[in-house]
Formats: sequence, structure tokens, C-alpha cells
Amino acid sequence: MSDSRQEWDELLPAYALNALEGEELERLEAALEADASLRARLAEYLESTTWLAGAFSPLAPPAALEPRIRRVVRALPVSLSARRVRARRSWLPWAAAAVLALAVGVLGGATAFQLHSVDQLQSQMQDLASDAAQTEQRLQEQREVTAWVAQSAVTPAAVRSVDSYAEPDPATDYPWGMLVTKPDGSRVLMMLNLPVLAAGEVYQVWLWDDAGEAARSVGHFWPDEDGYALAHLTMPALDTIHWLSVNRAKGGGTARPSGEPVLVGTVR
Amino acid sequence: MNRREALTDTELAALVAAGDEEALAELYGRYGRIVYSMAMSSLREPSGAEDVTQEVFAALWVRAGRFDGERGIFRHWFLHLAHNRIVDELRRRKRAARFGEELPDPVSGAGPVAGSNTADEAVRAVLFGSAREALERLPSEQRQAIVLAYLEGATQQEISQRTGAPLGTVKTRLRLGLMKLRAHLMLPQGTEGTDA
Repeated sequence: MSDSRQEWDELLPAYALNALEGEELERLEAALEADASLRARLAEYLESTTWLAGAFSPLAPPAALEPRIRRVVRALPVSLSARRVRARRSWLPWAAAAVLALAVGVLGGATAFQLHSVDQLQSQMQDLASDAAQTEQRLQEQREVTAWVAQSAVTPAAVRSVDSYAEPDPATDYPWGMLVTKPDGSRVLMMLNLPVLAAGEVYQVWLWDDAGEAARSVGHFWPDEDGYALAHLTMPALDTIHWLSVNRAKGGGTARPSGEPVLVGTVR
Repeated sequence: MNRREALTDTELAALVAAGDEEALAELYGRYGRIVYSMAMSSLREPSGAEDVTQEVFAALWVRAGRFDGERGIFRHWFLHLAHNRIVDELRRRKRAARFGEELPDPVSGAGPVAGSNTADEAVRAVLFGSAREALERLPSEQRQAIVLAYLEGATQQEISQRTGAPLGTVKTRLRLGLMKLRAHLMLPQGTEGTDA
């Protein structure tokens, strides 16, 4: 038996139980992608965990849950690739392990990955903690948006990139967004996969009438480095507008929409 | 009969990938109760279980195009995804609890691990049928490792820390435990297996 096969066989049960994390998870997932025999061995373990899943004391979900799910998915793009989400999830433990390795190197007097000073190490760890806090905040915001969708009587409106309408490709992380009406009537626009802005640029949100002629700006924002943004909008009643678009703009925004919209969709 | 009722899970997943909401509804009919029961058993409060179930089916909606029927079985793929989401939520709550965030109150007696001091109690609290019997037949160390991972969302490192067993031993227990469960699963109904 080869060393790698033995290693994978040790990791597959933990993977089937979702008990694997960090760098081991990354390496095994890459190997599963490439190796059909490994997938077949995983399937044997998944038979057991699937069996366990079906053996929980059955509880019926509330009747309201299915219509709630329907409302949520109507605002979501179909078959969006989840690569970005997976990459984000796996990055933090890996980075933490890397910093830990650096710390061990410093404390043990190793030469390979020595840092210039303990201050530098502390600085890197603070950066990591800051990134982790940002990720946690983003997840919390997305949970709140999901809760608003569930609670609000107004169906969310999806906004998508022009390319995703014209040439849908499940493997592409198209920019997309969801206009959600909160229970108090105010609105937020949650967006993912926005392209990186050039220096001095912002994204600007525009509302259009039925004819697509009269546009008014309702604010501008900057996404984070992952292309995620949650914009709180001050908007008129939805029956006075028809389209929403998000365009790149210079500086603090422009008086008229400029360039191709990055996101566009009907809001009623 | 609804036309979609006659379709296989894989065929329904392909329809979901194309944006067929009724296909998603059919899969919800087949798996919604399983996912919700798993979530309730692990999270122990209905609001969180509903949110997670919703997120699992929303994830199915956006990821169905990534399921390849030639590379795996839908039931395996989907229930692994569902369990993964539940485990993520369990771990998030553990982190939040460490930072003093207020969490929903668990429903008394609704979950597996509520009031359960041992893996045996957890198994008896939430599992039924032959799977429960099969788990109860495992050596206690293997049962404990599987219950900690599957019901409580513990990583193999956490299982090692909590049980005091070396990481390599934990890996072996998980592997042997799952293999024995599978062996039990393969037995014809009514056949007694040996507990090797």
C-alpha cells in the first residue's frame, strides 16, 4: 500500500463525518477531485453516515418552512459556483496553522521561517484575528439578511450581471445581488462576487423608471476584497421604479450612470 | 401523480440545476424531514433547525449544478452537504458561546446531547431503528468517537483532546466504527452480525 493511499484511508472516515478541517481537508478534497478510486472508497464511508442521517428520530418541519424556502431561492441565482465560499472557509485555518508554524519556528530557534521580531509575529496574528472577525461579521450579516427574507412579506428581487443573463455558465462566479425588504420596510442590497475596483472608483446604485430612461442615484459603496458588500439603501416605494442597476463610478459617484452596469435586475 | 414524483434524485437535481422550483420542492419532500430532524437533534432548538434547513436547500439550489451523478450518489452528496452545514452552525455557536454571545435556548429534551453525559445516552436520545442498534453494538470508544463527530460536530483533533486518545487512535476508531456500521448495514434484515 502506498503512503499516500494509507494517508487518504486515514482521512476519509473523518471527511465522511465532517470532522476534518484545515490543510488536511484541502488536500483530501483536491485528491478526491482527481481520483475516482478514492471517491469510491469515500462512498463506502458515506453509506454509513447517510444511514445515520436517516436514523434520527423523525420530526416534521413546520408547514411554513417550505414556502419560506421557495421565497428565498427565488431570489438566488441558479447553480452558483460555491468555490469562493469554500476557499474563504478553508483559508483561515490554513493561515492560522501557518502563523502557528512560524511561532514554533521562532520559539524553537529554527532558522527556516524566522521572523524579524516577536512584534512582527504579534502583528501578523492581529491581522489574522482581524480577518477572522471580518469573516464572522460577514456571516452574521448574511444570516440577518436570510432572516429578513423569511420575515418580510415582500419577495426579494435578484440582480445579476449582464453576462449571467446572456451566457449562463454554472462554473463561473458571476456577480449577483439580492434586494431585500426588511420587516421595518427599509431595504438592503446584498452583493457577492463584485469585481475589484480600481483606485478612486466606487460602485453606485441606480434606480430606473419603466422606460429605462430616468435614473436616480441612491448611494455608493465599496465592496470588501472578496467582492462582498451589504448596502443599506434609502429608496422610494417600489411601484415608482422598475429597474435597479449597480455601475462603476469615479470618486464619490457621478450625476448620471456611467459605463456598463455590473449588476442589473427588475425590482417589481 | 406529479410528474416529478417518478423521477430519481439525480434527475431532480439536474432539474434543480436548471432552475426548476418544483423539482426542488420534490427533493424537499424527500429530504426535508431528514435534514430538519438532523438539525433539531444537533442544535436542539426549532428556530435554528429551521434556519439551517432553509440554508441547506438554498445551498442545494445554487450548487445542484455541481453534483455529477457519474461521480457519486445524490443521497450521499446531499446529506453530507446538509451535515456539513449543521456542523458549521454547531461550531459557530461554540465560538459564539466562548465570546459570550447570547444563543437560543435549547428545547428541553429535544436534542441528543441535551442532558446526555455519555455517547450511549446521546444515541438513545436521537437515533432509532437498526442504526441505533448498530451504534450500540460498537465498542464504546468507537461509538463515542462517532457520536462526538457526527452529533456534536467535533473535529478529530477535538475528539482527541476530549477523550485523551492520541490523534492516530481517534482516526482508527472513526475508520473501524464506520466500517462496522457499514458491515451491519449490508447484513440481510434479521441477521445478527458479529462484533469483531
